[in-house]
Amino acid sequence: MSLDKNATFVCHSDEKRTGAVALEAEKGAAKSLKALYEKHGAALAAYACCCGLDFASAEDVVQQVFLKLLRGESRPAQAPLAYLYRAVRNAGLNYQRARRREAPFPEGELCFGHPTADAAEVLSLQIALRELPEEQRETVFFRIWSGMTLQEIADMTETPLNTVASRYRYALEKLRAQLGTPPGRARSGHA
Amino acid sequence: MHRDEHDLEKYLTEFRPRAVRPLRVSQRVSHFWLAGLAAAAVVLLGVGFGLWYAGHDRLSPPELKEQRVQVEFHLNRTRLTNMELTRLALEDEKQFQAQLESESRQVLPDFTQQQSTLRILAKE
Repeated sequence: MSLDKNATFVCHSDEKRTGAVALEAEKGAAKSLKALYEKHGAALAAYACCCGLDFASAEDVVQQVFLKLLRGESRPAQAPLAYLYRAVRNAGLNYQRARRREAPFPEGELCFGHPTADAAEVLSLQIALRELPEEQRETVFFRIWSGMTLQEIADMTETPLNTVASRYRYALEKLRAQLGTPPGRARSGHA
Repeated sequence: MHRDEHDLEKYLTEFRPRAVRPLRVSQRVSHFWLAGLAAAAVVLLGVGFGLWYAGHDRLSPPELKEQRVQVEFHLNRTRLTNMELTRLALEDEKQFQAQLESESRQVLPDFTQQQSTLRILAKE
């Protein structure tokens, strides 16, 4: 009898503990998602812009992706950041499809800021990024605006390091070809 | 990495993505609160209706209430003699009418019952 009581007690206690742990895990997940949003939300919105959305739509798409994760409607099957970039890209495509737009790049709308560069320079960067192949654009965003190393990108995307490095190098070459000699280099004395 | 690549990388890093608006996570909570408010409103309506219904009888005009009591009293009474009926007709016409109504229910054929004569005849 007492054994049963103890068993029941242990069972209830475990349930409570499991519930509390689940709640804590949920809170922890929400916190980490918010932290991810604060750290990478802007880069993800810029990435969505470079996939053909205007800035307001890009913001909406990024918010949708994060809110779905927070509500538990979708769960990342891969590394969170890689998942976020893919999810934003897919959501952006769905958004464009729903609006039946061919998605020309919104002329004149800036998704980046620069302390000294003018709007034309920012726009030319955006257009150059848009014209990159998807995998190269993604790698540039991971590296430049999400601050990851090539090794981290390789691990995260489960791609060989050499492939990632090649994508990045090709992307930079194309960007250089599109942008010409970056004016920033002359300004900052790199030339 | 090539020197030029470093330069270009540094140049690109100077571009900062535009800030996005804060993440709104309160939608689920607000839905929860809306549902709670709706439930509270339904409960309040139910309680209010119950109170109104209970007080309705109390708030009815006193004359109606008195008349109802008198009719119920007379309906429950036993049959009166002719003398008593005459006296009642002279003294209190309302009570007399109520008594007549009560008597008529006992004397005339009833058609409210399932097997009453009038109902059977009506069917035929």
